[in-house]
Amino acid sequence: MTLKSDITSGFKVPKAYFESFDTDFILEQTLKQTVSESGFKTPDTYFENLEIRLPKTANARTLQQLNKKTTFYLSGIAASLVLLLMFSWPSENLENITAEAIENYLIYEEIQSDELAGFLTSDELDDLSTLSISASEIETYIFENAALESLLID
Amino acid sequence: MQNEATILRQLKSDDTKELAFKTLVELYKERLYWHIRKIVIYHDDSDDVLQNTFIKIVRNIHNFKGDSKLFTWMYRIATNEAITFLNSKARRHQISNEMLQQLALENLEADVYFEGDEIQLKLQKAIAQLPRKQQLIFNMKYFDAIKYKDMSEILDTSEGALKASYHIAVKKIKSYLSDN
Repeated sequence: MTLKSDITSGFKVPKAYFESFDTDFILEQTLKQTVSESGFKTPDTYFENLEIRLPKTANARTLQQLNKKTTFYLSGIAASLVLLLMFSWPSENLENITAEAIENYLIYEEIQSDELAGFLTSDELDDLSTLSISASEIETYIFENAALESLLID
Repeated sequence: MQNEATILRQLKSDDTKELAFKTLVELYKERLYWHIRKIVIYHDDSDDVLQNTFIKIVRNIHNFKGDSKLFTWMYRIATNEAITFLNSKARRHQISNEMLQQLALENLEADVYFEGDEIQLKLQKAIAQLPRKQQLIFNMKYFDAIKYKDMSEILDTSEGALKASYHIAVKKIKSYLSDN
């Protein structure tokens, strides 16, 4: 039986809405009758014991709380180490590191862009935005390196 | 249960941030874990990606403007983290993403954290045949019953396109299961 309010409400649905709704619903339900769970499981009590290990930001505060004498000694030790490294480190090793080796290191160590950004000052980041890269260079890079689907999701 | 607006306000305040973050983790850890797990397959990888996801969430919460729901924003981060993780893993092993997924599926039977039967294993293989984005859509709708409206915010895709993609995915999977 069709209710009168359905005829006079003025609402309407997209063309073939109910037909396609039925089809999709039935299609999904028949598949779920065959298989409805993924089969994955977790170790016992994984969720109960799960702790998110946030990077320690308290270190900076702890250092600020150290007394001046301790800070003085620590600074002295740090400066000595820097001087020691400056004079004993073979400089050619650093010069011989290729751009490719650095790139591989960044990829394999899974360093994220925001972590890299943490090493730069805001002025240096601003300079990056004014870099001139040609359209063909960008096109080549995207063609060779980027996964189109992850870009679409980004 | 605290609503999103309250948690969000507490997350942006230094005094309440830590407690609010714990609440957020409690509320969403399982949903985000299972979302990630279906993308990266292995439990250990899922745990890593889940950790990174929550770290990203807490680092970027000040950038969340409330244009979408907090829950869809977090799902978006989790999705991106999982895909970035897979891309890096494939590059590290110098193989394609498809090959990486294929290897994961081949090892699935021996995985102690997979208890699926033959048909569930076949379902995972059928899902792997779909394009990456269609896999995401299928998993989110079929297993997690995420609404198209929310999925539209997570994947930045129109509801119509999502419905069409899901319909095609279900048909392909049914066909794969009956042919194999």
